Amino acid sequence: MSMDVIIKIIAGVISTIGFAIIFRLRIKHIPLAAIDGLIACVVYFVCLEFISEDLFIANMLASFATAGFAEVCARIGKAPSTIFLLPGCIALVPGGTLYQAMRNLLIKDYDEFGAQLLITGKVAIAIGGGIIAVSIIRYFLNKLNDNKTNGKEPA
Amino acid sequence: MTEISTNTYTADYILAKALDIGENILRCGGEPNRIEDTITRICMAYGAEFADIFALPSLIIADIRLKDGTHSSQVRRVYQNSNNMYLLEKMNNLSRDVCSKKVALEDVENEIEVAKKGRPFPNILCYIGGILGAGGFAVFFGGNLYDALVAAVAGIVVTFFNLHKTAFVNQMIHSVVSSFVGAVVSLTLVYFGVGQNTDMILIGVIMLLIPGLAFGNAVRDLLFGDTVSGIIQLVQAILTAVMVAFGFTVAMMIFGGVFN
Repeated sequence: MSMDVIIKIIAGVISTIGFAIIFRLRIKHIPLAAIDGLIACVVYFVCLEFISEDLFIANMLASFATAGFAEVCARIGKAPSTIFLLPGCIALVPGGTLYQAMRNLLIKDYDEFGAQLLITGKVAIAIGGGIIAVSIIRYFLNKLNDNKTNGKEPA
Repeated sequence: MTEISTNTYTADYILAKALDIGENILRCGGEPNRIEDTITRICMAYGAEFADIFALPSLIIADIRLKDGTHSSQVRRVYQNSNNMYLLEKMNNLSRDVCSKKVALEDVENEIEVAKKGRPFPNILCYIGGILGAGGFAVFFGGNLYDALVAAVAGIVVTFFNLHKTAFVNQMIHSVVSSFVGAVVSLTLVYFGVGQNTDMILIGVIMLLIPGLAFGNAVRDLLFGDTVSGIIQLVQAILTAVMVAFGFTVAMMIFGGVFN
């Protein structure tokens, strides 16, 4: 990994901490959220470098890892997983392409505008897909647990 | 097993208290299906036989029936606030305590008031969040340290607008105004030669303004089967993005020199 990527990862973690503050996480949850953001950035850049150039796959794997670790954080920190997921995923949000789309609209490059807009939508779907995959896994794990403890304790 | 305690509450009372908690979770950024789940659990814990809850980002419709046949249906309009994970966590713990009867239904109102007053840290720290968020993203998208500095200054301004959201007529006008001012501040600084890469700076600022994960959340809701709330969130996210784009565009037109 080049120096450039490492700087980007550090910047991503810093912005994750910033957003954790903006979303008003409790101080004790902020380190976990920062680790979640670190995982998002590392997985994203490693995927881009070694697995596929495609943004869809990189974003989906990254959001999958982030959402998975957010579930782990939820167990460690005893708080809902959304708390860690929201700041953790923020580095994946396609703000760059959205800005490029808008900028191209302004300079009347409509082809590029459409292309960037589609990339934005594609990345959003990828992030949503990664999160939903974790939700489905959690749903079935919960169901498995419920079946085991059925009748012993109320939900 | 808890027949005695449940029989003392009427269906209206149980549902009203459950809705109070659900409303606050929705208001501070919880997903609609989490609200449906929470309200159902609370009502079931207090002796409801059936609970039909339907939550949208701005509305909760609920109907419960107790074992003795009395039933209650209520509707709650919810005005959305910003993401507040502190309150979300407090409400989540409260709902868990209410379900396990650690907190009595009578105390719910008090507990909510206490949770609303609580702050994880003073509001002033949010500005540091804005500085780190905008500056970090300016570097993340390929800017240098000077760009990060400019983005951080704009981030302070945008955070100021975010903290005083209620002063605006609605979310859309808030997006336009705050993106316009954020862009003007950063373009002015670039004009005076502080940062070099306008694009990176503006992307850093835009990250504070676009509705965070709303796109991803909307897609997730759609895929999870909450079609209506997914569509509402998607439209809200797109509209907000368009409004942010509009504010930026106006600012860029004023600083026409940016595009040759």
